[in-house]
Amino acid sequence: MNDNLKLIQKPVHFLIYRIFLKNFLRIIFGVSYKNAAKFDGLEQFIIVANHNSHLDTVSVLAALPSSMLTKVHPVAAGDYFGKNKFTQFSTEFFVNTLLISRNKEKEKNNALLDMNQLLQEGQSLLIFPEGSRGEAEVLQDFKHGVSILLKKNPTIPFIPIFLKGMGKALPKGDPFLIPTECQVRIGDPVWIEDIQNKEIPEITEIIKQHILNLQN
Amino acid sequence: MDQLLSRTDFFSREVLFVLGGIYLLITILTIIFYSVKITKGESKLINELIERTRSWWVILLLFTFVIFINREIATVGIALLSLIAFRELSSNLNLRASDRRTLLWCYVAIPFQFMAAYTQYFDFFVLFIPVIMYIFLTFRTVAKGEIENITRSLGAIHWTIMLTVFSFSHLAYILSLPPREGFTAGNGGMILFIVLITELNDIFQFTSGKLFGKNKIIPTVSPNKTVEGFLGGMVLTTLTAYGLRFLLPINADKTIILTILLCIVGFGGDITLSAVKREHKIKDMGTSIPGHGGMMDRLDSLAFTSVSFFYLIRYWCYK
Repeated sequence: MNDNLKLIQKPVHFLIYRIFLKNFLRIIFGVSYKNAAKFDGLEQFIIVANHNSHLDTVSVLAALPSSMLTKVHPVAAGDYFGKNKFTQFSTEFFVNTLLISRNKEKEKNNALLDMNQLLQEGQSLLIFPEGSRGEAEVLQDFKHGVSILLKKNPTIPFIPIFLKGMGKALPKGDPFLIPTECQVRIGDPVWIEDIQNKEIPEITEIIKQHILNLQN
Repeated sequence: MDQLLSRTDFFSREVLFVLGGIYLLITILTIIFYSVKITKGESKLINELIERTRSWWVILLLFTFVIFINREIATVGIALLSLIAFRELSSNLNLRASDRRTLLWCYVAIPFQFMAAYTQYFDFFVLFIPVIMYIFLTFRTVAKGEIENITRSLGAIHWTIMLTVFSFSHLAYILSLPPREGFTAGNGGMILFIVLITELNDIFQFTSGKLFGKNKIIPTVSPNKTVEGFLGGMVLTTLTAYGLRFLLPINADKTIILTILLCIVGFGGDITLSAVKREHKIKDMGTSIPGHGGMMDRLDSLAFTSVSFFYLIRYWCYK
């Protein structure tokens, strides 16, 4: 994306997410936000959420404070959203995505390097560790990417978010969005203690536990 | 002032008088709660009361500016209220994933129903949801080909659209009724009466139940509902309605008959939604009104009283 576009991206995002989408999602589609104040005072973080629907990303972005809007990059599948030039441009401009490949082993490492690069630049990420949307309202196994990033960048906290009901409002494989009561439950930012001495699967388990705690 | 008010659709003198009274009352309550908080310090009860009063302010201001200024805003506002109520109720009924298409058609039906109310197309208004949508939604559900629990879905979805969309659309129709000679309060007066009396009945039943309640009416559904509360609420509501009868185009006797019916029906609506919530083990239908739960937690009685009010008034005055 060139610099001119980046310049108008901020006001466009503010208009779309803070003014339009947030109220629209709240009033018509029944998305409610719990504890949106948890983001206050944080400069950089990795948002980790469960994934059931295309509604997930926009709902989380609409919950962000305006100062963070263009700084949070949702990590998305390049093979899905990068299909052609148009979808690639629109997801990058409107949703600010970082497109990665999730297929080959070699490219997976590149994806991690890309994400780490953004973190080094002071940007934040939104990651769905389940990888794909899966079945409605079912939590799948978590992938380890977030844990690796957190271990590499121990000063950056993760914010667990539990998304409830999104899979009923807009499930995989259905083009129609149907108004349903759903919730964006935002948890406290977490700095995992003694992260350097923990194994990757152990860290993944801790992250998963924080999201499950928000479920109940 | 008079010129400004004559540009609005429903701010008659009677309406302003009653609304003024409500604003005065809630101002006094707000002052009392805040002074208690300041003198006695914070407690759980007083914080809850203050949160509730704050919500009442929002509801009251929204009600004033959405309903009475003009008929277009009011119709869209009530349609939106129906949509939220439908969404809350249908989300909480554990419907099947295969019912999504049927639900989508329910949302499509909302503008048609309110268009009929706005244009006073009465035949379509009373036929659309009870007959046309009844047949159409049934066939749409069956066409999906999923038979497990289908009878439950068929019943639950049509019941929900009747309870939320059909019933609240009568509030919009009240605003569209033709003016009557010699009836100065106007359609705004009627809508103010029905909403106020329904909410007051809830409050009066609750308070007289707390004060005198002994014999439970239906403990398996709602342990707080007592015979004393119900009757006490009815007496107090009827007295208030008698005082407010200038808001209606009917005489005092008819006002009393109407109000007694509203009390019974309102009580029915209240316990019906309690039963549904109890079955699904939820406390509130949603989170749209802080301190009060969801929209349907406040409007459970109104879902039934609005319909009863409309047809009785129509039978007496608009035949």
